[in-house]
Amino acid sequence: MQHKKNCNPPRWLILFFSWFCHPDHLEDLEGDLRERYDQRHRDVGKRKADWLFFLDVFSLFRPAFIRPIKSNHPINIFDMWKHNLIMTLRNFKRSKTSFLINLLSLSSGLACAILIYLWVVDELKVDSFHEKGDRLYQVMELWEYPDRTDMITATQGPLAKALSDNIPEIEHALAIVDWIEDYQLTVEDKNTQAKGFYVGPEFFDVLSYDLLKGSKDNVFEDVNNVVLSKKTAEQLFGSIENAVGQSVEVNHQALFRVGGIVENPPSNSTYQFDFLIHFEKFREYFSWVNSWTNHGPATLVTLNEGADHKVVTEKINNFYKTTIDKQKVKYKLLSFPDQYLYSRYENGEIVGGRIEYVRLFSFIGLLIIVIACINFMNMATARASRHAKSIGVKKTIGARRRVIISQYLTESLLLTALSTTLAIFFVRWVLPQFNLLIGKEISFQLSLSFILVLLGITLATGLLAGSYPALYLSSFKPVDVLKGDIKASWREFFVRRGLVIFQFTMTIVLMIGVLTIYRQIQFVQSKNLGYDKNQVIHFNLNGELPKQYNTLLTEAERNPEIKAVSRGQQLINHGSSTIEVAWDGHNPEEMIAFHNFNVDYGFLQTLGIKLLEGRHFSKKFGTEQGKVIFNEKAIEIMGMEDPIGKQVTIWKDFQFEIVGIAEDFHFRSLHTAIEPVFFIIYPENAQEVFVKLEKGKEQEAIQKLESLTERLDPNYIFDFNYLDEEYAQLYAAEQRVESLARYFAGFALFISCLGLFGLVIFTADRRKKEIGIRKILGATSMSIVYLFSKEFTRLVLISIVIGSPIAYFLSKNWLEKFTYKIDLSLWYFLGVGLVVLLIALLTISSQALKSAYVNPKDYLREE
Amino acid sequence: MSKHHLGEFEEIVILTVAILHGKAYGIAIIEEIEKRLNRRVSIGSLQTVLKRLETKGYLSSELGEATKVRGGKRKRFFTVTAYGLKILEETKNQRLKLWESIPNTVFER
Repeated sequence: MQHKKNCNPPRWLILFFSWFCHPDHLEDLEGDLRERYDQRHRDVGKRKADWLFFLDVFSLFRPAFIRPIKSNHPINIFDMWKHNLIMTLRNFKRSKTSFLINLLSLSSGLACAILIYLWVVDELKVDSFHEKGDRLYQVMELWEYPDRTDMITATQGPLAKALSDNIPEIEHALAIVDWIEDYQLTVEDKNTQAKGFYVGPEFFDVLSYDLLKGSKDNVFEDVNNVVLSKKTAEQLFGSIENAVGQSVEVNHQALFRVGGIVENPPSNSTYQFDFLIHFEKFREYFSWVNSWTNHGPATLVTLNEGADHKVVTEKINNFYKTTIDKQKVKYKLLSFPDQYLYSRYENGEIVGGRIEYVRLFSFIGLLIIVIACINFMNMATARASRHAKSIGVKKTIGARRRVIISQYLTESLLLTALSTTLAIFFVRWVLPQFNLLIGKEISFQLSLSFILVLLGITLATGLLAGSYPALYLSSFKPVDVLKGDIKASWREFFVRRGLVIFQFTMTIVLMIGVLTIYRQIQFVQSKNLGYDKNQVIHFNLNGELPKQYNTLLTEAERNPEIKAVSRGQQLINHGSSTIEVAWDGHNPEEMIAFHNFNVDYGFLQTLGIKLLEGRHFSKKFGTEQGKVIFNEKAIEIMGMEDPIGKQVTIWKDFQFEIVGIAEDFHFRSLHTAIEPVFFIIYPENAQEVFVKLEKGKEQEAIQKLESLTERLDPNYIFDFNYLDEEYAQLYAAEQRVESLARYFAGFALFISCLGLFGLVIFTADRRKKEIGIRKILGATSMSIVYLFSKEFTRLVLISIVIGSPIAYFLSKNWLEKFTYKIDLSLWYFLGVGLVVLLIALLTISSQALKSAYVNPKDYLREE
Repeated sequence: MSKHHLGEFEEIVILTVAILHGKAYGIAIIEEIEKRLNRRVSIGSLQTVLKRLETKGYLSSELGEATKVRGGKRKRFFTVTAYGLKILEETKNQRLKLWESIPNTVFER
């Protein structure tokens, strides 16, 4: 070509043309086009030629020349899949080790993922059964302090009625008292301990619990009606059939008439109750709830269809401000069904809650599957050299890339399907233990949706695992591989190493995370709380017992197994507090909530709470009414110097003299800081008996207490709790997360090591001759082991280096949630790293030793 | 007799292929038509007609030898089949008969 430089038509047009043109005409037409273009390029210049070329191409874009959508060489689909299947089975059979390794890692990975899936679905289902869920809201109170805003569920007793009377958008407003622990229900000689709620009559309009007897309009038509759960009704009356209309005695104090029977609350309901009593009765028994300055009941509202909760919130706040305005309170509506997952608040905003764990575990599930898939990828690409020839031959006789890809995808999909089946069996087998671990009752049902999910997981995993090997293997050039020229390309090598590093990095992050959670829980469990929670039991005073308390006290203290007895109020997660504490220099604008403990003599001693200054309450000083003991924190907040003997005013009208200062103690979880507390002598309100037992003689002591209470009140049900167990309960969520995560981290390590094992076997096989020669030349077994370990140990070491900072960052972040927390020390990282390294080394050397001890003649005899 | 009717453009294309005799490929045909009839032909419409004539059996084609020009792509050479020649003949005869039937007076004015 005599003319200058660029005489090529626009590339994209050529590409477009060869894309659409029918293969039969492609060659000559493209030739024609090019010829014309060359001619024009010479005659009229590039720009014009380009334009005319464009017109030419589009003039050919017509049905006669557009390629048919279906290939004109149909693939024999059936035979292809049959062939794929045979090849797959043959591969499985030929390389049993890698088949087993893949099967084991994929099925354990999938089992973890399925378990996590079951758990996540169960978490998401909680409280989702309420029919009006999308317009069901909980009214939260916002308390704005100078440094923070608290959001609480406790609201004023009159709020519910006021809201439904004054806010037109509110369909129903419901007050619920859900903190009543145990009441005794009696029918003639039958007696049972049950947990009850006081609820407004709108209960069944707002929440969706099924009434088995009675209708939602009449079960609460009388304030003396009680609604029993099916379980309770069966306990008291044998069956639910004739229960309605009968009388039930509650706490040996009042008679109620059974107005209806409700189905037991489902396990995915946050509200768990055995019976329901009209809220009016609560107002009758506890008049404090009628005041706008006391806070206790929860308030739930349903809005009218289409009402905007933000507008309603605004209206509620306006209404409160203009009409009531007793205290500086604001309200906020939060979706009730979401409460379970989103219940961690900071400064009046939702910042998380269980949803964080749901997300965390979903992520861990994904991670474990990825780790398992990596094993498959590595094994498949490592074995590539064995497949190369067959791929080369296939391609030469006309197999397209797609066909080869489909073959390897068949292999991975079949393997994944097998693994899923195994995983299902495994899941069914461990589900009871898993339920125990997470405190749920998940059942295994192969419902349609679950089967679809399983299919989806299988498909996704199979594609994930198989796509890289399939693409990689099918990209071989037949000429190269048939010439025997497969270079173990550095890229492939690099990818495989990278994947191993990724596996181990993730495993290490998981393990360090688990260790952090474990250490933190251990730390909070063993932290000196400021009182002695060991060997302390407590039980509720009800029935005849409050009247008999003094007898109980003297009789109990006579036993040598019992060290001390006193009464007070619930300690763990203590609920009642007041802001009405006034002292010299107190600024009434500043609202500080003090926890108040109403106690009897000896309470602080029984719990081993120490005094910093002053004295304990004692009968020696005559009546102790009007005396108060504060904790350190309270004194600090009040800013008092030399506080003993000073006067404070509590509940506006009552004067108290400070007689002692108690050391700070933790009665709430260590998520929260220590709060101000005061103790006063008020036996009438001290309903909880605390007993300190002799160490090692707990059982005898408990038996004696039980027979004692039975003697004093035959109807009393002795139901006690250990204080330390209750305290441990505060960290139930973390404990569960930790034990779950521990298993998953174990699985991750197991799967990663399986992969490593497979790679070592493969390398050993490939380097057989090298080992043989080395041995003949005098290499010791140890040096052969070293040869193997060096390579893989380096990968694990790199993983430790990468994983530790990630783990550090994540753990630090998690610990932020605790006010009192452990320091992340270096040995966590070193320890985990060392453990992983050791396990990896063990894995590697088991195989390395095997090949190191083989007689070299076996390796070299071939050929 | 005349169920195989040739369109005007089809006729021109067959004739041109016959004229080029053995050297008839896409671009050559276009250039020939442009030269002789001064008529612009787009590559798309020409190729469509060529394809149609080939399926009707008037033309046959085969690929030539690869050369270094045209990006190494081979040319597709068309030749008129015996059947095609027969149709051409028929068409020509029909036209002639029509011509002959025109009264002489028509041209004399």
